[in-house]
Amino acid sequence: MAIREICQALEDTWLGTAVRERVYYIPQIFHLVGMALFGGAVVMEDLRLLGRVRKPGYSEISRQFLPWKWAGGVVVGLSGFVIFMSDATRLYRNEGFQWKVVLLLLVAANALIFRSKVYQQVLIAEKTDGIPRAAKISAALSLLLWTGVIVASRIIGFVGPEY
Amino acid sequence: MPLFKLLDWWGETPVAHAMNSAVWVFPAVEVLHMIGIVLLVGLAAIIDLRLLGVRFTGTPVPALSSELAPWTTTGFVLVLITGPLLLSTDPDRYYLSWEFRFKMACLALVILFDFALHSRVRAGGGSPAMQRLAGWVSLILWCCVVAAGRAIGVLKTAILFN
Repeated sequence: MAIREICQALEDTWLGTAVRERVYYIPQIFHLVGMALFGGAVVMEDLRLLGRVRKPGYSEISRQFLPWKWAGGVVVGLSGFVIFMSDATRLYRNEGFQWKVVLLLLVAANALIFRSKVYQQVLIAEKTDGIPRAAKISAALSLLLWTGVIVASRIIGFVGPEY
Repeated sequence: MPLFKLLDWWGETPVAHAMNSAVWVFPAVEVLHMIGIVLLVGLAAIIDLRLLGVRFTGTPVPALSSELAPWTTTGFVLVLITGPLLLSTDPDRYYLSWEFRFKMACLALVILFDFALHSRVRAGGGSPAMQRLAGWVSLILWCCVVAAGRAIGVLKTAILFN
């Protein structure tokens, strides 16, 4: 199976081996501190769309957070990938991990649809009569999917024969 | 030792038995703990970035702070309930863990610092230098709390008494 071979290759790299055998806690700590720091941007942006946070305006929040969320994505994504490298052949078969990947793809799809279809409407509507319904649905979905990602992450440790 | 006795008692309460009653209870409470962390630390970090002059410089500090306050409070209540619940599952292990002690020390410091200075700066007081100081101290301490928290789960050191 091709996936298994790729996972084995990742695990056998210098980095995968070093993390697994010696410094497994370092990417874990980056992953969690990154999640805590940058998760705030996701939450605040979604709460603003849902009208639970009212200041500053959405366009301001979105503009301010764009580079910050990219930085967060790099820190959390890279550390996550390094964790995966260190334990790839077990993780890819882990149901919690599989759910996490699916949910992250749904997060990405939701963000892409929001950017291409709803974002401009929000910027226009902000000046007149508040946030459009589609944007609120997208924000609620984002919070829900991210919660799912956290759930799946915790499940990783509790399913599968080796975990 | 009184603290050790208190933890021992906490580990024998019905709450602790409920936490240990099934394997899924601990991760379920962990999920709530993490949601609390993102609300508390994630939104506190945004206020700290404002204090540092990195983000939202066009919004006054008190306005941003009061806008996010209900959510950081929600996060704080969540971690304050779920933390002791997680602790109750195995108080001895946490008591003997360096990471746990470091986390509690940083948590105590950040709470004290909040009452002493950060809350006043959030309300709009303090010089720009004071604001930057408050932002840095809070940001660094919160990062230490989260880092130590993750380390409890992965490092698992134990203090040995000979």
